[in-house]
Amino acid sequence: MPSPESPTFNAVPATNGELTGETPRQTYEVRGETTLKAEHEQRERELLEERARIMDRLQVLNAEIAKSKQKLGIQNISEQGQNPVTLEGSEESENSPAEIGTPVAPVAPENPTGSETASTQPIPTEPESEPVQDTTGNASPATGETGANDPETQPSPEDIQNTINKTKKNKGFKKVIVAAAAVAMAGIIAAGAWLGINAFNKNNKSNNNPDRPGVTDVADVGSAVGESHETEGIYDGYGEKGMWLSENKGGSYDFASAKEVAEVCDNDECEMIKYTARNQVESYADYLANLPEELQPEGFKGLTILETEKKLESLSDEEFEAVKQVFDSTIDGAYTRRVTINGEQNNAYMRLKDSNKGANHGNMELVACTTNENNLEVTQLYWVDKDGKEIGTMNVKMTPVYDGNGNITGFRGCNQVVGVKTSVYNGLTKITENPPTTPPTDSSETPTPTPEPTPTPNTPEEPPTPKNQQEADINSGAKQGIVTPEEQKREITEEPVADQDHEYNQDSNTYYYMPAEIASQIGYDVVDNGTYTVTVETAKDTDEANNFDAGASIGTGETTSDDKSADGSGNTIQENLDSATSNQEANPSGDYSQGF
Amino acid sequence: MDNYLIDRETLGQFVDELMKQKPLPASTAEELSALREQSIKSLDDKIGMAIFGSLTTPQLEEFNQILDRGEESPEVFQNFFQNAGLDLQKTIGDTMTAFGKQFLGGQNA
Repeated sequence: MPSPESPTFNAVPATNGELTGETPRQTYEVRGETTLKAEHEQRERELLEERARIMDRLQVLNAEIAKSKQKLGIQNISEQGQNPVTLEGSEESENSPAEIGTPVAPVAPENPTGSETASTQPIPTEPESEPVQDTTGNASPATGETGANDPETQPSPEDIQNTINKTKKNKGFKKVIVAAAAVAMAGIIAAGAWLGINAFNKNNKSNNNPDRPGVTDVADVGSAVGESHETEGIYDGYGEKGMWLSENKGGSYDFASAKEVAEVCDNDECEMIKYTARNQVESYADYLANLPEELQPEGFKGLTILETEKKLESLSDEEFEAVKQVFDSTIDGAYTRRVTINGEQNNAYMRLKDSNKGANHGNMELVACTTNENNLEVTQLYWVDKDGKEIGTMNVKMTPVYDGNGNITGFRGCNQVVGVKTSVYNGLTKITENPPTTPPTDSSETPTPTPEPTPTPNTPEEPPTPKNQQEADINSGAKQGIVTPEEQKREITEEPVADQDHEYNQDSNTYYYMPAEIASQIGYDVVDNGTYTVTVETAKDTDEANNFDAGASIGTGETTSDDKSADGSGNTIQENLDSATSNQEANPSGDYSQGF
Repeated sequence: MDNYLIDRETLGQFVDELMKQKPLPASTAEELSALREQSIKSLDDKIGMAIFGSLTTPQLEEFNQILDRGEESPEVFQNFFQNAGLDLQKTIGDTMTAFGKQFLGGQNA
């Protein structure tokens, strides 16, 4: 074990700004061996590299600590005379690591960085026998708010130590302080001060990950990740992991079900429910089960969603909170990028088990949902290790619901994690949303050419699905299981104009969509009076078709001139969106079944 | 006798995270273990000093009286700190943050 009398060095900046070791307090023991010289040079190089790394880390930490302070409401640290640490360590802190129990390891005197407090390494020493002064170097505590600064009323360190010794035997006090410490630690970790995965590793910043969000300074990495999630609706929607949002996080990105409290009714009984993880544990389970295994919390690796859900429900509140903290920091430490995915994808969403009953935990279930995607752009969370190697991804599909002004009011079914794993859905009821229309394509994903576009809340990424389709899913009316090749073509049948409701026929998988007149105008093949057949592939292959889908699927069905312009005019779509929104608003229970 | 004010496991988790973030030289397992234990003890001491150092002498005396009476109800202690105007959670959080900052080598805020 290294000697506790390890050398430390004073340093002064050289004229060129480089750090130099100067006047070592302990002479380096030269053994006169050539090999020793080589070893020393090697060590010197290593220390220089280490210094560079530490300087980078310092920048990050300083930014992170400042953010953590802000989040935790800490204000006193810098007010108590501590100087910013610099690697020009001549201003070695009053609170050097040695003073807080992390003495430094020996460093070769010739090492130009040998003086750097921050680059010296902590080594074990005997525990301090003297009572330790508080972390800020003076006797008053970190809070310093209790009037203890008056020397006449401040207890002596001996008195304090005696009290501490007595408290160690008191079970009641220990319960109180242990609980407070657990919460405090959770707060620190949640603030992301030290747990942001790879946030401190500059080497990963850009060299190995060109797709990384456009972070211009390493100190911004951690915050940029969180902000990126927030911008994309993941952090606020899923930053609380789709469980609940506080009132402070209100806004158009809130999930319909993600209200702090909501009145839910079961027959005649109504109650106010706070949408905590307890009430939407299924959502949480979906996320946990879909995390790359390397990042899953201990005890949750390789479980299905159902197994994860059961395990979560079996945890005590404290255990649940601990898992949540780990998960939160994992999500916060992910980077994001946009990718397009194709082919059959696995997915899940929440729905009511019994649509006639209230939206409570007992009446909610997660169902597996298979979709067939055609160049669907999703947000991909990805994680990298310290060497910049990607260690896992998770795709998140957001399908917003818009109000009449184009604002996102919630998210509907088949959201959440997409297509990363398949086995995790075992045991869930399976439904199929949009069946494939072409022979199965590979489920490959392609990074979107333009990295990290900033999503605009008011810009729909995907048009809302017809309300009836959602209801079909919610009520288990949609076809279940994997679609066969025979089902790859979907017949869309037009009813007489009088049919305004675009009813969905679950048996024939047929939608009654639009007037034949409009269908013919935009190129669909009307095969008889009021009926035409088209493949969804065709409908999705062109922008016009997409727009048509959006309009037709939620439109009023009226044969108006506006409808006729639905082959691309945004106005008509917007009006239809208005209509669709009002339809959805008319079904408040749908809030709880449309995504998380 | 328990040598820790706060339970060792909780503090150990925190120290483990710090050690993950701090590049350590090629150390033996024994050295790392010793460093961990020492850091836990040091942090525990600092938290104790921060909490009770926040109290005035009369308050500390009052607290000692509670201990001497053998009170073991958590509510008694919660009430005491509430009346003393001490936010335990914040005090501990501040101390841990400062400790972590220093452990990792940064000192500026």
